[in-house]
Amino acid sequence: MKTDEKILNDMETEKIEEKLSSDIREEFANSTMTKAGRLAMELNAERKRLKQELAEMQIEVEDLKPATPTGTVDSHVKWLATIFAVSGVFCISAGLEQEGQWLYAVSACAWIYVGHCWNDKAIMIGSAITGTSVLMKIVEGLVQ
Amino acid sequence: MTKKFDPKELEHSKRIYKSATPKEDLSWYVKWFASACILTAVLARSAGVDYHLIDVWFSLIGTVGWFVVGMLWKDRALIMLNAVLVFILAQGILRGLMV
Repeated sequence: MKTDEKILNDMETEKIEEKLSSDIREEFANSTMTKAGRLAMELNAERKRLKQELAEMQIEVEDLKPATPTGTVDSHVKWLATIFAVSGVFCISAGLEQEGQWLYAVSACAWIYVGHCWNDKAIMIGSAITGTSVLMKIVEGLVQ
Repeated sequence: MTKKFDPKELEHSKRIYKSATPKEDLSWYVKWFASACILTAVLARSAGVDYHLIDVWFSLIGTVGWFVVGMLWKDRALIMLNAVLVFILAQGILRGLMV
């Protein structure tokens, strides 16, 4: 009975050791400690290595993370506004003045909303003024 | 008068309305400078055709500024929008110089 238990324990130990990285297994390969002690040391070294790896990955994620909100309503509005503005500028430069101006005006309104959600005055002021300028041109075109 | 808040209070408070974008760092200064340039450009545009050159150049500087802000904030929408605008404005300037 005891032998069966020992065999099972040995098998589990081997399974755990298989999961450890080769560097750590090599480091403790010639250790004179008991098997349990060696396994504890190996697991501790593996834990430290994984912790360090996790910290490095966290730094990488932080480096790529935008400063502005993502996945919120305002981020979706922001993308819509970007598409409208790009289309607007493209239409204006292609000679479709009226259509381009309307697209740009809608985009400016959407950017004002985004600026309001982010509480960013520069975005609100910039978009409000460029939007007003475009709206004035639209009205001028309609009056003529 | 602006009330000074404790940094911990600022971080955890749901009562104090905070800006989602960074404040008083490099991007903040670039952002306001770029906004001022764009406002000057709009002003020149509304002043008439005589100020067209000021309009185009200030628009370009402002747009480049906002492109830099987009890079600093790692905001892909701002980068894309301003990259397209810079390209179109630069194209307009080049065309003007060629004529």
